Amino acid sequence: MFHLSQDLNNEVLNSEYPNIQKLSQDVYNQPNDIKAWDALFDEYDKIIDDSYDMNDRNSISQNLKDEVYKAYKSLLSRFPLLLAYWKKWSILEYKLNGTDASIDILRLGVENFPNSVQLWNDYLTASETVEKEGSREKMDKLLEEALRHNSYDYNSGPLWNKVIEFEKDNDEKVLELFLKVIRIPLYEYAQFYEKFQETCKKFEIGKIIPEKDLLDYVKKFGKSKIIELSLIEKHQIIDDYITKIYSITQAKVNSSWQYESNLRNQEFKIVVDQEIKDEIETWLNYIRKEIEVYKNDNSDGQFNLICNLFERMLIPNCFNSDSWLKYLKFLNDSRREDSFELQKEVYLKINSRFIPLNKQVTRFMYVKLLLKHDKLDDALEYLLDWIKLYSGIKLYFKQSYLESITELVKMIQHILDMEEFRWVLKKWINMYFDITPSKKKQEEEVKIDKIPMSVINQVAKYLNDDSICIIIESHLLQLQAQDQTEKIRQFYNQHHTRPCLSISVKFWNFMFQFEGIHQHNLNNLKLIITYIKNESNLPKLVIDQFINQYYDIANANLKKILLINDGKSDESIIKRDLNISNSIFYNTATQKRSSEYNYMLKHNNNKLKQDEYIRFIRKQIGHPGIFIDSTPDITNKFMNDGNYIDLTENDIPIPPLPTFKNVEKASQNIKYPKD
Amino acid sequence: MPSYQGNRNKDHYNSKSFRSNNNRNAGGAPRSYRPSSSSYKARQNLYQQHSISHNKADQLQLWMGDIDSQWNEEFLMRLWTDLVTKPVSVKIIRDKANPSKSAYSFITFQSQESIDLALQRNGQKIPHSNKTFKLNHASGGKSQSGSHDQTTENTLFVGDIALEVNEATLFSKFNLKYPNQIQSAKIILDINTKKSRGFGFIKFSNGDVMLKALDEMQGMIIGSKAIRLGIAAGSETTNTTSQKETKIDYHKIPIAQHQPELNKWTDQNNTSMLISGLNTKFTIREIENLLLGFGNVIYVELAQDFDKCYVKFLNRHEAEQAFLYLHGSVINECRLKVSWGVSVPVKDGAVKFKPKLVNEGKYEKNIDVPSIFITNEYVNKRLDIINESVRGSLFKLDGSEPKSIIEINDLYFNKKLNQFEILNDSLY
Repeated sequence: MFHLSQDLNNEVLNSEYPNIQKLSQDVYNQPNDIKAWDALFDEYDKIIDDSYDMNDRNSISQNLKDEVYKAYKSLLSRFPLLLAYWKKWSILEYKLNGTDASIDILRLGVENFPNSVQLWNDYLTASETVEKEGSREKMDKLLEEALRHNSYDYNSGPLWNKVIEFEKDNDEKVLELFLKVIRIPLYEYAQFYEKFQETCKKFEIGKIIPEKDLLDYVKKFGKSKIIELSLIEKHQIIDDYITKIYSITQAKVNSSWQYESNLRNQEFKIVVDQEIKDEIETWLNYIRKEIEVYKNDNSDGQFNLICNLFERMLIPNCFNSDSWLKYLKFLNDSRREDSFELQKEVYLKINSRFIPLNKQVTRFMYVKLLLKHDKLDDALEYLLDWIKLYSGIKLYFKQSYLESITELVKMIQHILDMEEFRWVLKKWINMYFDITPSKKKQEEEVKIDKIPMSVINQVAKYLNDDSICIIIESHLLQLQAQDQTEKIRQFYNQHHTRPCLSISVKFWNFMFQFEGIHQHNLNNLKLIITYIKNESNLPKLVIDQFINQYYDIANANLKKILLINDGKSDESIIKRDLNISNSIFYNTATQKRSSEYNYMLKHNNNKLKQDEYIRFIRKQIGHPGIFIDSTPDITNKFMNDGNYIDLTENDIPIPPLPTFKNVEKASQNIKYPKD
Repeated sequence: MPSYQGNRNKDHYNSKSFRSNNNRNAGGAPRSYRPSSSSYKARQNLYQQHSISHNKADQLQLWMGDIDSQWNEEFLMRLWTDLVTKPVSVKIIRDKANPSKSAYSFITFQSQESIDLALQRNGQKIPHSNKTFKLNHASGGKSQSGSHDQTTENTLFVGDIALEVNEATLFSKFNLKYPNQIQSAKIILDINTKKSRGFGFIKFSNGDVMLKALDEMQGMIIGSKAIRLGIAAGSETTNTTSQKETKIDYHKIPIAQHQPELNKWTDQNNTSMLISGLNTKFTIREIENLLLGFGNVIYVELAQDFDKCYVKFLNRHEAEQAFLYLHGSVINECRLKVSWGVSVPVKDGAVKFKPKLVNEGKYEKNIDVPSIFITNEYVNKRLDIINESVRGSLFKLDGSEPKSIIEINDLYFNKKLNQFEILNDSLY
């Protein structure tokens, strides 16, 4: 179960077909369930097959066409790496709208999934047929793009073939391609070597072999100039040269093969299974080996090879932020000039498309990268954008939102100096609670140059009941650092009953540690623990921890506790176990809290709240959730009202038959709550 | 059955005791019919009517009624194999003249446990059909065949006998009307109070006389009440197979109540819950904090829209406590509603369960987890996210083995660490 940022644009598809409507709803509810999608597409296929007429393009209504388009688009914009569905879509589109439309889909495919050799192959083949007489230039560009992304892919043989085949009339280009491809470790490396051997003889020797190497050869043959070489000698030299390259490539291919042969899951799957997880190690070993090579050779080719390996590894692992971070680390460590740009490109791509919304690491890493390169404004803007998104345009992503706010506060603390930071925190709290400081107390406006005021105000706009607690904690910590004990207590007195603080673990933890450990004020600590126990809305587990901690502190300071309580022992020491017990009946503090925060009770009388809560619990005891109002009972029990049996009597009378109450009610059908 | 034998002996003993000491309860029971060995034997036989002692094979047989005309022996064999165990044999008895009429059958099992298990199905729905189980001990039918024993012949059942009427009175009333035709009279006593239970039996030497008496003596007033007569079960002259009165098993309390269909609400071992009304205002960590105070959690999963949460506890009592605590509560300004959920077993993953999201298909019974003792120093865990090594040590903590000081210290230390974690890891 995970969310991607694409979810925020998701909508339920509307359809005139009731079946489709239902399946669309399923897909909307379970967008990560490929079976739901399959069911939807199968249904579309059925409908289309029913009314499809080969010769009539208009046999399918435009509405239906649009629907299908939307359905595929929403799946593939969520999961652009689903190769099979791109292909399926393009075939369907061909059926519905013809060649151009189908090619358009493939174009979309390679744009969204540029590392797929197969998709490029399909796209190039299809484009070729259309563009026969059309612009060569366009084709050239496409081929270049295809090679840019995939030339170092171990399985890119077919793509190379395609490119060489297309350029066959352009000798120079072909030579350039061959010289490149024979150096790359490909699965089909031998094939290219053989082909090149066949054709290479027609090229000028100087174009194949760099001058430096060529001069070495010339020397070996005992000549002083290239022109002096005979044709046979030239051919001998070329053969020798490319055979040398061949043997180097062969060695590379062999060493890669031990890894490639173990990587069986190279396709993208929505649900990452154990096999994919197991193969990560193989990928990393593979990449480590290549990085070792790169350390000695530092060539562009090797760098691109490693990048390509990372990209391929990240097809099945695209949701795994750890793997992406390894790639980014490699880019960062490469010390190349374009390292920042490359990292930026990757970060932007993965943050917006792949990394699930609950994983923040790469997003924060990008912010740090921006800060490192002195792009403070960009960093703030980027973080704010995410905060805005998480805060609930469509859904409130609480976890991610709070993490981002925490990150933001950290960042601002880092950028500003202490005085400014404190001022900002105070300003945020005042803005949030709508407090205007009295004129006397009004502190001087602190001038902040490093961060524009507009940003500060914008952050204030995105604060909510949860995140304000983070700000408050930072504020209190700052006060503590300044030894402003009075101010902290003032703040407590003023604000501790606010509803937003009644659920803040951070706030209560701070107050507890402050009075208990920092100030050693047991009187205040007792007040705090009593408030937590009886009034707060914290989870029981958290309250238990406070009670335990208080117990430890109280036991360690028995003397003081006795003084506070006029010589009596403290109740919370004796009742510790009761107070953390899970029994609603015995744990009166829980009773009190729960009766306060339960919407199913009809609160008429404050005093009776707890009684009512106990009744509420009793009705469902043994069968939680099912409320039984009347339990059957015997009304004339032996032991009631002196009806006991005198066992000293000789002739014991037969007691009357029992009479019952609530039997009929209890034997009625049980009403189970509806979901 | 053995228990009933015991009761019979007790009854037997009682009758002996008042034979030698004829006061109080038995009143002035006339010696006329009692000492005669033949009539005494007859009475013994009468008792046997209520407790026909079967051989073992008979006891392991089950009567099953309301058999659909479509079903065959194979079907029943499969049915019982699925539900209980493979029966030893299955025999369907059909009305040959009218095969479409619903038939009955006898199922023989290996053991008494299987019979008991099978009998619990009585009244429940039969899988893959719209019929319900009609089951009984096959002994009912057997006693019928035992009626060839002449001792159970020609017996009338007498009901509504007034409490003050004793066996002698009953005997003399009938004997007066049909002299020398009455072999014995018996009133059934309550074993605890020794008082009359208000019914009894009259044995006639002749079937015709019995039928005549059935007609003539019906509604006759003996003592303060009019008696009610009927042909006693097992008597040769009748085809009645009703054996209800004779089938009292004091060990079992027959529950006639209809058992509700097994679903997530009625399964007493269900530990899956669905918490709704979260309204996006909860992080997974907060929900964990709400739950882990009560027990080990198998999984916690937020729904796609963050409004629901699927939870499964390890133990039922933990789930119940959490349920009671959370149902109806207002947390983070959200009104929580808890209901029982459904989980399905899966093959892979850290835990072997996942929530069932779509409410379709039959509910599958939840497997009960054996309850284990867990020391109170132990910190509850979320089993789907802890790593293998912790999972391994988790269930060693059952308190059955003495722990070393180091282990105890470890537990204590972990508890403190957990306390620290809970208080300091909160996001806000």
